[in-house]
Amino acid sequence: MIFLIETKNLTKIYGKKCAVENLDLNIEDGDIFGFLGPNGAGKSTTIFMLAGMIEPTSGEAFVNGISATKNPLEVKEIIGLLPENVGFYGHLNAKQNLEYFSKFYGFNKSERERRIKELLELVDLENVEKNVSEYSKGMKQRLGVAQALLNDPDVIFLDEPTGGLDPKGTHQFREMIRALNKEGKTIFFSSHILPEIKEVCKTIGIILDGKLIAVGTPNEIKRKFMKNELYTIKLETIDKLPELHHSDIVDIECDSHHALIKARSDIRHDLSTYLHENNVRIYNLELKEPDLEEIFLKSIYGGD
Amino acid sequence: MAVFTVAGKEFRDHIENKRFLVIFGALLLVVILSMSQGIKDYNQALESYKEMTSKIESSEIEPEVHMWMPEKPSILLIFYRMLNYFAAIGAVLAIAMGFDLISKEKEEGSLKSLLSHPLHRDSVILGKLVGAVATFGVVMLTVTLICTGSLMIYGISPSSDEFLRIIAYMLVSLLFLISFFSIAIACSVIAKSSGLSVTYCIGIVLVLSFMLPAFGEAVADQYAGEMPTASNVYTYTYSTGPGTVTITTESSTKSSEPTEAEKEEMQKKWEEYQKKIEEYWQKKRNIEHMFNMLSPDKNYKEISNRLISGRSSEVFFFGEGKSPKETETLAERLSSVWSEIFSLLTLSVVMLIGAYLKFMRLDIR
Repeated sequence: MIFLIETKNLTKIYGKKCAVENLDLNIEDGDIFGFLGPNGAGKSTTIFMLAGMIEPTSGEAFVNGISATKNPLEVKEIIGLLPENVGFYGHLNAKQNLEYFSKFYGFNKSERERRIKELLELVDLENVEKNVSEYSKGMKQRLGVAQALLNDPDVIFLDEPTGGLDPKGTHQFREMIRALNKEGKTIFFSSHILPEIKEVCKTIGIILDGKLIAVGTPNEIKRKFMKNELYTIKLETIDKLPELHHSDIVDIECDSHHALIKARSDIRHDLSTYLHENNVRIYNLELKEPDLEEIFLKSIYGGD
Repeated sequence: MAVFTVAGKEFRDHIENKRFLVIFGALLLVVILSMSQGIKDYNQALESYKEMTSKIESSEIEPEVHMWMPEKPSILLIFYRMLNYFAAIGAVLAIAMGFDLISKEKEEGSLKSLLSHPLHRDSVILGKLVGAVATFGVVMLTVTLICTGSLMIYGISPSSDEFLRIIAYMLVSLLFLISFFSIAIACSVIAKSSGLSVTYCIGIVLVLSFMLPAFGEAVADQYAGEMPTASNVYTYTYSTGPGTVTITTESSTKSSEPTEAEKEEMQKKWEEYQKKIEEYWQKKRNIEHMFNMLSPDKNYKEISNRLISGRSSEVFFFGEGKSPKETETLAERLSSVWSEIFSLLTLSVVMLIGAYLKFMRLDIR
């Protein structure tokens, strides 16, 4: 399979600190990939290496088969990047900032003007004349999206894009990401906040201390981390509960009609069969799964 | 070319920057004032030259004094007053233009945005350099136009040699601005914030322009030892050809005409003394020169003095040294200060290479 974004043993060392260690990533075309990890885990370094802005210490990074190390300019031609805490030239307005950045692509003047007009409309800044120094965080972020889309890129890297945005801004941002993905763009979205990633991403990669510790769909990730977790099953019956026995049951709290079972696996099927055979009518049988956020917090931050 | 795209933006930014406009305005004001004062000085010098010439022609002055007559004043005398002001304000202008060139982009995050587009890192720093040099070009062109305009208004027309010297002076001034700019941009790359960068700049300038020359002077005093004194030489006056020489001693004064033997003895002692003091000053000068070579403004003043007046800013008591000769060609003048030109150029190149290398390895996350 050919991947749109690929890294092979990608490593970056700053002095004695290993920011990214032997990272192997494979992201398919059209994916919304969530790159999750605490602050300082190596997310921005990975993105900057993929964007050809930082040279890796070792390993390789490819975007659409182009080496970001050997041909950074070619990679920059096909990607868009919204860096964390995106900044602009404060003494210029949105249009002037975009005009400057667009000069690094091979557009002619009319093409450039048309593209800038479209993008400013997209991010709702077409009528804002003031200089960027007077912009709010949300406005800057929107302008950041516009500058990332200047070249109509195949891949968009978003580094902590919703940091500092209000709930409305965050919602609009998510909608924008989905819309861009629908247009066929591959999105690489980094964040340290799981709900943001979970909300929009198809695939998730978790990075911790520069190492990729898990990658897959949200459910695959969950299963991976659930390996050592106990399942909590809540049982309510109409008839009186018989004594319950199962090799996977670790703990049980029960009274005549209720039981809260901690088990090593999902034993709901076995339980319902057993109760049916004993003519006990079930009122409620539910699995209380820990959600991804709980697992993530427990795995990454040790439950804090 | 990405370098020129960056340079174009940087040039516009400089030209429209309020800080630049204020300092540039101050510089132009000083140029205009010092030019007008310089023209007055020149006219006065010309008047006294004419007066002297007419006196000689009318034989009011003894023939042997003719050799000591001042030469016709050069038009370059007009620029002499401008020199110190230009050195001070020019240095401030160059530092103000460069100290936050990179640090501000780091602080505002615009560097990350810029580098995410298809351009190499070196295009950014080279573009900033080209933009600044172009701005300095405009500064020097404006200064040159004001200077030549002032000369034209007062009906003063420079000879071809003088014109070349004016151009050379302007080019050296451009190099001077670049040298201070190179210090500023190096600080801007190294420092984590613009506040730190300006602190580094001030520190470096203080060390190079004031502390090192002062230290050099102290070292020279220490190394050169006691200044030789003329002992046991009677005061007497005799003709040495052009003019007279008077030698004093601490001990006594002999008023009567010395004998031939005494004269011979005195001449010998005088020559010995002259040799010693020449050696003393040469030693002192060499050490001071070594330290001054690291100072961009000392170098600039030395080169400019040489171009403008033909005099060296260093003190010479005796000997030929770099004695003033208005008849010297531009090439002769430049070759006599090649080490200062080389030093000014080296400082700029070293600082710029340092800034370039550091910028290429800069952590931009």
